[in-house]
Amino acid sequence: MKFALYVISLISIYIYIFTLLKREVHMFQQNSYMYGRYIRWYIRDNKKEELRKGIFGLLSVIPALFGLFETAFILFSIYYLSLSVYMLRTKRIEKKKLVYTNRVKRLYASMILLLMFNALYSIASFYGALLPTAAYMALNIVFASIPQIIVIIGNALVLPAEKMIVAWYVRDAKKIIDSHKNLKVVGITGSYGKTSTKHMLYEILRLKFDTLMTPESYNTTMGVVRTIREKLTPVHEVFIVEMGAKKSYDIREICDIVKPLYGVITSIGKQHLETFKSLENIVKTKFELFDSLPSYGTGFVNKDDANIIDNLRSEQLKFMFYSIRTKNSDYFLHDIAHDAQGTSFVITTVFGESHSFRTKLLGEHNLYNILSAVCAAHTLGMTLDEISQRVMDIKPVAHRLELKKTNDNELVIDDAYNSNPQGAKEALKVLGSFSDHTRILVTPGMVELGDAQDEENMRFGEFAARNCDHAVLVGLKQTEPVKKGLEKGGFLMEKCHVVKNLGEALKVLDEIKKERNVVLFENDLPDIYEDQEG
Amino acid sequence: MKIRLCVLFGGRSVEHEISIISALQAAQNLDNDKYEIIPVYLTKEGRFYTGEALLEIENYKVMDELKKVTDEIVFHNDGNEKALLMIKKKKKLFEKERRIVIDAVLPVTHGTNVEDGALQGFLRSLRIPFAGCDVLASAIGMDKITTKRVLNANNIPVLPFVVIDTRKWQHDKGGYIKTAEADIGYPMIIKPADLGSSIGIKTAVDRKEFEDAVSYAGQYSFMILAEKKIKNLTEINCAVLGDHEKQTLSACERPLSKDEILSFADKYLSDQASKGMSGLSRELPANIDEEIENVIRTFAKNAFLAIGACGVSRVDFLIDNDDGAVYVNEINTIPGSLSFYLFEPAGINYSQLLDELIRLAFKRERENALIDYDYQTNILSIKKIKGSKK
Repeated sequence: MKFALYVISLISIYIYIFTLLKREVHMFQQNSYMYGRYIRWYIRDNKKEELRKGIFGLLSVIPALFGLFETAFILFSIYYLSLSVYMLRTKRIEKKKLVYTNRVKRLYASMILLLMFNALYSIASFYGALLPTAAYMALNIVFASIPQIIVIIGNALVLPAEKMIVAWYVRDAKKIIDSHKNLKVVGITGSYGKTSTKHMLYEILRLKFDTLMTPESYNTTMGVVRTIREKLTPVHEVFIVEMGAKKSYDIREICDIVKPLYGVITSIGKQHLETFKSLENIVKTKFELFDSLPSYGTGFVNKDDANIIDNLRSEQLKFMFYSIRTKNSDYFLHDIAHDAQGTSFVITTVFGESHSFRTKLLGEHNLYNILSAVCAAHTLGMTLDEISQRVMDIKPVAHRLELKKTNDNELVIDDAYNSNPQGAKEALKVLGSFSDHTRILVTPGMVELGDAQDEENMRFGEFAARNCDHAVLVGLKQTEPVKKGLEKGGFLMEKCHVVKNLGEALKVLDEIKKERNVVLFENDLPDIYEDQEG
Repeated sequence: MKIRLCVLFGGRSVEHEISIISALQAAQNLDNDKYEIIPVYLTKEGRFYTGEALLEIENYKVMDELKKVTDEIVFHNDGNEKALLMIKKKKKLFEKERRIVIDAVLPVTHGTNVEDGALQGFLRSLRIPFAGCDVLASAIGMDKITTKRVLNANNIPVLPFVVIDTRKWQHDKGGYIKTAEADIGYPMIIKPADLGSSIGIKTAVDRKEFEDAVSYAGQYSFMILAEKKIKNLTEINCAVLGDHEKQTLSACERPLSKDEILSFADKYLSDQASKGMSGLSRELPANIDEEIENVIRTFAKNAFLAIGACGVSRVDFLIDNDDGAVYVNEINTIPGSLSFYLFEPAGINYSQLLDELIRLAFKRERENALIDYDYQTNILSIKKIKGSKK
C-alpha cells in the first residue's frame, strides 16, 4: 500500500514536471539555446512561480517527518495532480510559438531520458535505506520547482550531438558552395549600413544577374548556412552575404563557408563594444572579410571612414576606394542636390567615366550605401548606365527619411521612425539643403536616450537652428531642451512654436505654410501618417 | 551544381511525334556538365510523365509499356522550389512525397496547344522559368492571320490575304469568294490559320478548287487564310536567336522540294524522318543574292522583334522571282530541331544554342521580376493593419 502510494506520488510530480517543460523549452529556444541568455532571462524576467509552488509542496511532506508516510504521499499526490490540472487548463498567450524543430525533439528525448532514470532510481531506492529515497524525492521536488535545471542538463547531454549536427550542416553548405563553380560571392560587413547596402546591391544586380541575398536577420553563420541549403540554386550567379559579428572570428567563420570574391566594409563604429571589449577587436573582426578574399578578389573601401582607412594594410589584395569627400578616389560621388524627387548626384570613376544618378532616397548615409553598391555592381560588370536605372528604382523604407510629395508646393520628409541623434542630424541636413523652400521642422524631440537625453536634444535644437525656418515643437515640457538649443543656435524665437499635441501642430503648420514648403517630421510621430495612409 | 532542366515535349498537336524527335535531339546535345536533364513527356490526353526511359526513341513504340516504366507527375511551385510531384504512387510509411526539383523548363513542343502560348501560359502561371517565346509572342506566331497583321503594322511585307471564318462560310460563301477573287485572284493558296506545319494547305486555280480547299483546310481550323500563290517562288528560311535586347541571325536555308508546296509527307515522313526538321533536304547556306540576303536578314530580325519573340524563332520567307519582292510567310516560335542546323554555319553549335536559350529564359525571369505585381493598396484587407515600429 505504501509503495503504491509512493509510486502514485511519483507519477503526480512527473505529470506536473511535464506540464512545465513545454514553456521552458520554448523560452530556451527564444534565448537561442544559449545558457547565459537563458539564465539571465530566468533571473531577471521569470516570475518564479514554480519555485514558490515547490516550497509550498514541501509542506505536504511534513507528515512524513512524523512517520505518517501514507498521509504524506496522499497529500503530495493531490497537490501535484491539482497543479498539473491547473497548468493544463491555463492557456498562455504566446507571441511567437515554440517551433518543434529537430533540435527541440532531441532535447525532449534527452530530458525524458534524464527524468526516466531519476524515476527508476526513485522507485528502486524505496526498499533500501530511507535517506536515498528522501534524497531522490527531494531531487524530484527540485526539478518541479526549478524546471530550468532539467532543460540545462538535458541540453548538456545532447550538446555534443548538436555540435556534430551543426558541423555537418556547415560542411554540407561548404560542399554546395564548392560545387557552384561560377558563383560570385559578395560579402558585406560593417557596423552600420550593411543591411541597406545589401538591399541596394541586390536591387541593382538583379537586373543583370540571378542574385541571391541572405534574408533579413540571417547574418550569422547558421543563418548563412540555412540560406545556402534552402535557397541557393544552380541558377544563381551572385550571392550577397551579409555578415554580422558579435565577437572575434565571427566573420572569418562565415567567409570560410562562402569564400567571398568581393568584400564591402561599410563602416566601423563602436557597435557591440561590450562583447568586443575594444575598438581594435571590432576593426580586426571586420577586416576578417578582407583577409579572407583571394588575391584576385576586390575589397571595396569607404575612404571616408578613418577606422577603415587607418587600419588598411594592402598586401596583394586589390582595393577600390569610394568617397564623398575626396576627389582622389576610385569612385567619387559629388554634386549632390536635393529636390522634390529625391537626391541627384554624379559618380566619377577612376576609369574616366562620369554618370549622373537619381535616387528617391535622402541622407548622406544612404548615399554611402548606394556608392558602395555602385562600386561592387560596376566591378561585377554592369555599366554605370544600367546601374543608374536600378538606383532610380530603389524604394525608401517607410518613415525613414522618406520623401513624400503631398501636393504641388509641399514636400514632406517623413523621418518619424528615427530615434537616434545621428539620424536626426542627417535629417536636419537634408531639410537644410532645400534652401529655396520654407523649411519647417515638426518634432517632439528625442526620447529614450537615458542620461544623455537633455544634452542630445539641446544639440539637436542647436543644429536645427541652422537648418530650418520654422520649428514646431510638440509637447510642452519634453521639448524644453530642444527650445534651449534653438536659442543657443541663434534661432529667431518667434518662429519657434511650442504646441501641446499633433492636432495643434497641424493647425500651426497651416498658418506658417508659404508658397513652397518642406516639412520634416522628425521622431516618433506615427499617428499622423496612419491617418493619411488609411 | 547543375541546372536541373526539364525538357518538355509532346502535347495535343499534329506535330506530337516530331516534338519527341526534336526533344531527344536537344537532350543529346545539352551539356551534361551544366545540366541535369529531366525529360517530361506530355501525352495527347494532357498527362505528364517523367523517367529515364523517355530518352530512348525505341521506347515510344508501345505507349502502354512506356507509361509503366515512367512516373506520372504534376508541376508544382511551393513559392521557393519548382518541382515535379509524382502522383498515384502508393506512399510507403515514412516515405516522403516524391518530388524532383527543377530550375527551368525547355519546351521542345510544336503546334497547337503547346507552341501557341497555352503551354507557355501554364508555365508562366506556375511561375516556372521556361525557354523560348512568352505567351503573347507564341500566340502571335502560331496564328498566321495575327502574324500578318502585326507584321503589316510594323512595315514588314507580307502577301495580301483574305480571312475566312469557316463558321460563317456556309452563309456567305459568295461574299468570301468575291472578296478573295477581287483582292487576290487565282492561283491562290488556302491554309488553316493556326497550324504549325504544312498540313491542310491547298492550291486553288478556280472557284471550285477554292471551295474544296476551304472545306479541306476547315477540317483543321475555324479560321482560314487565302493568299496569292507566287508562280515563280523561292523559299528562304532564316532563324533568329536572342531577345528584345540582342539578336543573332542564323545562316539562310533554301528548302528543296519537288512539289509546289511542302506536303506533310514530304516534310516529315521521308526516310530521314528520325532526324526531324534537320533531316530535310535543303540548300544551306542558300545560294542567293547578297542584296536579297541582307533584306531577309533585316526583315527576320524586325519580325522577331515585332512579335516580341525570345529564344530561337525561324522566320520563313517567300521570294517572288519575277519582281524580286520578299515577303515574310510565317514565324515559327519553336522551330523544328530548334533550327540548330541553321546556326552551325553561323559558328554556333547546338550545345551553345541550347545554353543561350536557357540563359535567356533566366534573363526574362529576372526582368519580369523587376515589374511590381504587388500594388501597394491591399483591397482584401478591410481594416488597414497598422504599421508597427518593430
